[in-house]
Amino acid sequence: MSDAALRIEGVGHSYQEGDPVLRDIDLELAPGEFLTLLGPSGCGKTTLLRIVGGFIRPTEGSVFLNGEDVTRVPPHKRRVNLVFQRAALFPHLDVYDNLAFGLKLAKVPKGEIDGRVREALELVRLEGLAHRRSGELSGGQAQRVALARALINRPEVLLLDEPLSALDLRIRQEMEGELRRLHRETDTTFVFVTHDQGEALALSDRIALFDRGAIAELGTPREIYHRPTSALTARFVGDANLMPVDDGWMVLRQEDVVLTEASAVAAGNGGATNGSSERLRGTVRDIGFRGAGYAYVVECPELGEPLKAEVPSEAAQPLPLGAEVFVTWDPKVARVLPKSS
Amino acid sequence: MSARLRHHGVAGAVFTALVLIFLLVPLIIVALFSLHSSPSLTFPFKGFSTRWYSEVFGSEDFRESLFNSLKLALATAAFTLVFGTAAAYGVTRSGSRMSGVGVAIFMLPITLPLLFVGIALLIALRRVGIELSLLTILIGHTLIAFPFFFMIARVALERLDPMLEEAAADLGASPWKAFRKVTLPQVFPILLGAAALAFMVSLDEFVVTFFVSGNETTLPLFIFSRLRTTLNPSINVVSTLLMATTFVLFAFAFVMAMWGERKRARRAGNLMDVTE
Repeated sequence: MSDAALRIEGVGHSYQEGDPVLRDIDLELAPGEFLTLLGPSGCGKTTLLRIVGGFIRPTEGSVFLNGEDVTRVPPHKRRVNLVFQRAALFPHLDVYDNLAFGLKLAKVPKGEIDGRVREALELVRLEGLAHRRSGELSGGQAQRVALARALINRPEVLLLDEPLSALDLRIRQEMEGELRRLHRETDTTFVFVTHDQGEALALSDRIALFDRGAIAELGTPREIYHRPTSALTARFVGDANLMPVDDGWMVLRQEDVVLTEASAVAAGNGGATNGSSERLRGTVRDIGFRGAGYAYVVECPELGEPLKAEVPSEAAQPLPLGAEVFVTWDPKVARVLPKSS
Repeated sequence: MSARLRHHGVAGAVFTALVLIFLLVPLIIVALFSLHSSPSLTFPFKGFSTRWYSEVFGSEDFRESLFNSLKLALATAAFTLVFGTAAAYGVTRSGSRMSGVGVAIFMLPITLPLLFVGIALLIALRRVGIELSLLTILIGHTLIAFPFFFMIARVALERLDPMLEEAAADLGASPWKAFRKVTLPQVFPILLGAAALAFMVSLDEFVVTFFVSGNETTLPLFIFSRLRTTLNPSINVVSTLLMATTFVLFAFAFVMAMWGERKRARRAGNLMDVTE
């Protein structure tokens, strides 16, 4: 398959001492695809990104860009660009010269540089800031400049190393939308690294979930969220409840949990079990108002750990702390996964 | 402010003033007597005259030693700038355990007594069979000035964000281009200041120069030889000139360091302010 924008073949990496940080990674990205490498810190996702960028030479395997083996090509000769966690703008240069940096090195004619810098600034909506110093930009602006500085070189693959993690929530949400738009408008292949499952679900065409140096799960956001194949996936993406059953784990999404006050059931009014057959007893230990829903923590004697539930807030008053409740769910939504390590 | 604190403030000011007077008075007296109208170097001060300046500048020996000193100081500054930057960059970027050993070796000359360095250098030069000349003085001065430069350059380079060099490489810069276009511009003012320091060290270096100068002479050697033959204000003239040069260079180094520091602070501000 030579039409892959990026192909990673049997890549593994270990440092002199200790266990390998990456084991036998195979990945193939179609041109224009948005792939997210998702996982907790230390799972090897950043190492893989840096291998693709050329900053780390893998101890095993090969990396192909548009069919060409680039495993031993140094970063400055690869047609990929990396957006760093912190914007990493050159402090001694203004925005214009930051953007023009790569083009000047590539000996692009002056007139063309002017045009492309203007285009790039329009792309990230920072027209008029061309002559600001990097010290005079806000965090969100700096990260946009960093994106423009990478995209202006028209990379074959754009690598993003947790570019939103240093921004605060409001800017981060705004930048999520920007990233989606940039991906649409530039039609570039994106590899995005994050530990934030929300970002991964919101942005990606496909997600590769990493666990201890290996890909634990690869699929579209819908597949990963709704049909996890391992308990780890279910726990990491969406923070689902895991209940031990005979042959493995039962996965129950927080929003699929139905809570009914025990006293209401006993009184016979509104015993809304809604055809849900499964039932546990529990005590409400914590309630948090999240706007659209209440986040409950319910302690069930039959379960090893507290159960988490998210219940829409508009329809009902919150249950009181300490209330005895029945925990029910539709058996169709609960999935049973085999027990793994 | 309490009375006690104010009292302490006054005492502190008086003490500071006394220390400054103690440090500055000899310098001021040296400068004052360089303008003395009589050959006497002691009070009473009889009047102002520039005759000693004319005499000194009229002296062939003086002009030669001045010229030598300036050449040496300039060459020492240039040498340390190039090699010191390379050494400091190597040590900060190598990541090897041996870099600590490198630092120790580069710093060695200022931990040894100058007398020892001078004698050792003389013996080494003799062994290798190098004639004593301006070149051997230059070797000595570079040896002595190097650690000062290295120390400053290393701190400046270590405080840079290594991510910026990676960003440069990512954008297509070879390691040399990344160094020249990203690393060097950020620390250049500080390096220039440090080179000025090397210039100063060379300008008034005496001990090592004394051993390896052969037939050449520098300003400090000129003063020393004058002291043995004549005792008049012409020595004060040379000393005053040395002092003034050192002062100007120190001010330059200081301004450069402040400028570099302001640039760094701006950059650090940018790194912290990632949240709008």
